[in-house]
Amino acid sequence: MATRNPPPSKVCPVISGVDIAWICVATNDGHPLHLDREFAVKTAGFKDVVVPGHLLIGWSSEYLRDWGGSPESIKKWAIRFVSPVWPGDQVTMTGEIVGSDDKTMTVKVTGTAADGRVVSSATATLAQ
Amino acid sequence: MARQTKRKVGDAGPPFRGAIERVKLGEYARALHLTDPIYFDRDAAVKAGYRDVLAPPGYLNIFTLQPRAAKFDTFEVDEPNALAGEWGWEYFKDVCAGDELHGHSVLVELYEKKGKRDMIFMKIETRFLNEKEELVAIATDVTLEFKV
Repeated sequence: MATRNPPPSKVCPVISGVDIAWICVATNDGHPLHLDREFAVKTAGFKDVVVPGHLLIGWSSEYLRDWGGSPESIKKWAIRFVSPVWPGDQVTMTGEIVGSDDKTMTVKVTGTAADGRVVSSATATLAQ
Repeated sequence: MARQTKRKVGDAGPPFRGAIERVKLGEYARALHLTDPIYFDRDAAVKAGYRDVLAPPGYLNIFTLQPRAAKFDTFEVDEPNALAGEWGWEYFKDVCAGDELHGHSVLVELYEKKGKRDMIFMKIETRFLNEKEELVAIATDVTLEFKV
């Protein structure tokens, strides 16, 4: 099979406090940095609560899944969190091909906030 | 005086064991606004050839089946000065609701980088096995810790 071009950039939902609450519950992550604004601002020194990386993990992997054609097409991947994400941010996932061989292709998925900040960078091996 | 720890490469967290639960996968799908029903509707998942609702890629991580504190206690993470650097996964089998997984986390790399603020890098590998002792996934996370 030929190398597949990346899917069109995917605009993820605007991140709400409710989304943050659900992802924290779903992943057993009760850190106050994600849930308690007073802690995040006064104790940790951030401008707001920090959005858990799990939302970026989930959306990056869905983009990879669409690219590979199935959940099983993702063989191996890793994501780096480049800068903090805040409630109200809206992230767009964009893909590019890095390399390929007979059986796999190596791809990169970048998450960019609406104001242009790069927030995440993932590389993956997809079966082809 | 700099903070002292006893952590070293090879340190292992307590073994964990737990079920992949349909209700937790539903919460995860809800947070992400996932629309493919294989992630939250058993009938749709079975129709697509899975045993039950499918765990999305990225669902398994160091916190999924064990208390968050296990990581911070075992590896003596200075939590207020730590942040997530990188998360990674390698997959060997599908994971579905109803699966019973077990495993443990191991510190596989530990090093420092000098910079404006010196940092410690901790790479932790978490292996997930199923009831048949088959390896289903390896999750890796890199935690960065500002040196104080």
